[in-house]
Amino acid sequence: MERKRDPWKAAVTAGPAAVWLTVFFLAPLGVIVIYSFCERGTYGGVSFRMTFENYARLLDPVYLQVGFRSFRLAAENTLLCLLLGYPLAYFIASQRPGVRHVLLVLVIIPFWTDFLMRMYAWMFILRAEGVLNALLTGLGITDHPTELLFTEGAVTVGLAYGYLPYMVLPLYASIEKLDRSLVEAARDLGANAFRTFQEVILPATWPGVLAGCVLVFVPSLGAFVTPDLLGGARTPMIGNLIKTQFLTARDWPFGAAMSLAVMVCVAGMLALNRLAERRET
Amino acid sequence: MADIDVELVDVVKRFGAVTAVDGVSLQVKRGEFFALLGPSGCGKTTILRMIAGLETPTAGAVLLRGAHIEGIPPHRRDVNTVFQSYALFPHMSVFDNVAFGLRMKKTAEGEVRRRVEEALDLIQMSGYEGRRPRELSGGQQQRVALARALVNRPAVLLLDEPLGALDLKLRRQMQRELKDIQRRVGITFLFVTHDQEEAMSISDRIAVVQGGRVEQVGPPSEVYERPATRFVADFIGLSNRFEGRVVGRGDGRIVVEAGGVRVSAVSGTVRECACILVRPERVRVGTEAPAGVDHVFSGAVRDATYVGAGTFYAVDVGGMDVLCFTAGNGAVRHAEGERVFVGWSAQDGHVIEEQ
Repeated sequence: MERKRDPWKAAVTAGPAAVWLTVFFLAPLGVIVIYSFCERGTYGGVSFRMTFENYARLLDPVYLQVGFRSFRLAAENTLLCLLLGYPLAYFIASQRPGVRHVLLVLVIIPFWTDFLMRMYAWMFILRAEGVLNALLTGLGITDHPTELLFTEGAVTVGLAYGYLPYMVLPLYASIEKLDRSLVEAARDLGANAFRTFQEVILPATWPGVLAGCVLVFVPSLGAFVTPDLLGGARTPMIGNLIKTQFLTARDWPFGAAMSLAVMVCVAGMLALNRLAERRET
Repeated sequence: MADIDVELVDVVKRFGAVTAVDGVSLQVKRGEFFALLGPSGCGKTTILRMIAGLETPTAGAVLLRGAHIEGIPPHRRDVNTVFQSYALFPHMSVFDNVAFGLRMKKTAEGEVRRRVEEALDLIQMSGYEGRRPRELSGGQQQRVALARALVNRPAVLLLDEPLGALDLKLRRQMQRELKDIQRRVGITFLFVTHDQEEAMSISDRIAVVQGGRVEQVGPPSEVYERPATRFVADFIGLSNRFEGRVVGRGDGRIVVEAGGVRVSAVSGTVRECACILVRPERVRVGTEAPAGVDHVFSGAVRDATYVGAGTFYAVDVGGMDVLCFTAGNGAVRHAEGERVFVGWSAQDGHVIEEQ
């Protein structure tokens, strides 16, 4: 049967979101693009004279170092979330439906509290007089409080805590769809538990792994609350740098260039990923 | 007992409060095509899965070529399974699917290639090595699943309703092929099905399973001609059953009175009540009383059903339907309402020995 195109149907279903995204996403993005090629005004603000200076400044080792650190932390966090999240998602998916739903709710319960509040809670846990140090000294594992807060480790813990659900949910969705008879077939054909995972379970759930990694990596890269509160001034990430340019240094054109550079990097990575996937199938 | 490939001894499997398999004992001989036949939910698939190692028996023993295998995980058992859903690995080519078992055993790649090609040749799927399972038809997927299991040359091949998803014509064709392949490779096939015709046409022996118990084990002709229980008689083929008090005995025969008629059959056992079974094709039907038979009844044809290879008649004999089958002749010979005679001999009856 031939499908009739109904412009009204399209307008009603996709229209509102399209208008919304145009006004509140595409238009500001356009502004950012324009700003990034402008000069900074004498008293902050933007002076509309075309320049590539902002992009050239990005190559300054100081900024590159922050950029590399951000990518490294985001990658580490993604890996950590994957290692923690996969077994958890697998465990949840193998429970009875009733139990499954309870466990899924437990995974998303942290979302019921504001992210900032939860980061403050981590400060409370990690600081020198905090809960964790009290526990460690109380148990005699350490004899004096260790500096846990304002370290890179604290940022890693905070990021992993914050983004783990974004890894678990897509993984759960793809593991739940996994045909259990494939696992049985692999076992039947002589694969031990490890080989079964490697040869059958992981490839079959790969879309979930990729989705989870993207959902964790991208926001980790742009994180600024977590490194601000848990990392202090010593471990800034790109997000902090951008925020500083806009709010403190009042160098909007440079901040805009930095944002776009990150966007282009992420988009490039996703495109490469797509390409690799397409070659595989 | 060197030629017994699979042996089950008093095997029980419970899932919570449900007893799926309730004390099953079986012996499958080497090189045999053995069918587990029963309605859905009778426990036949659970029996198969316990042999594969995918379920652990609650009680009883499972032996493969004389060795206990109850505690051995599936990947270290010398059996392979063809799953009902085929369970082909979707991300692998046909070649990689078939090669999977050999590679898990770390077979040299040259040997893997040779044996995979041989297996694909056996199922007439050469040239499909590079295809993905989703690019194959149901029948082709079924063949690949068969090759993937057979290529490992297991002691026993387990088949769980392997033809269930195919349409009738393809099903009949695959039945013949399965039988042919089994003869050629000489591997013991243990086959689960709910299709009595399928079980009858391809197996050497059938175990009829009902309610987690084995009702009867025997070759197809024995299970059909001499069913041990009423369930087996009902499940396999159509039948006339005359059940009632034994009113006469002698000359190696018994006479049963059922529904106002007296029917005799050959039986040596002394009993109060008995059930005599007469298959429809044993009953002769005609407009004149058949000669040389022990029993002749007259009645009106209540229903005539033409099935191509012949016609089934239901003849009303004193309020009781007698089912008869006449082969061939291309047409219905007796119209509904027509008065006919039906008849058979005592030797055509079979006494069900179940109490």
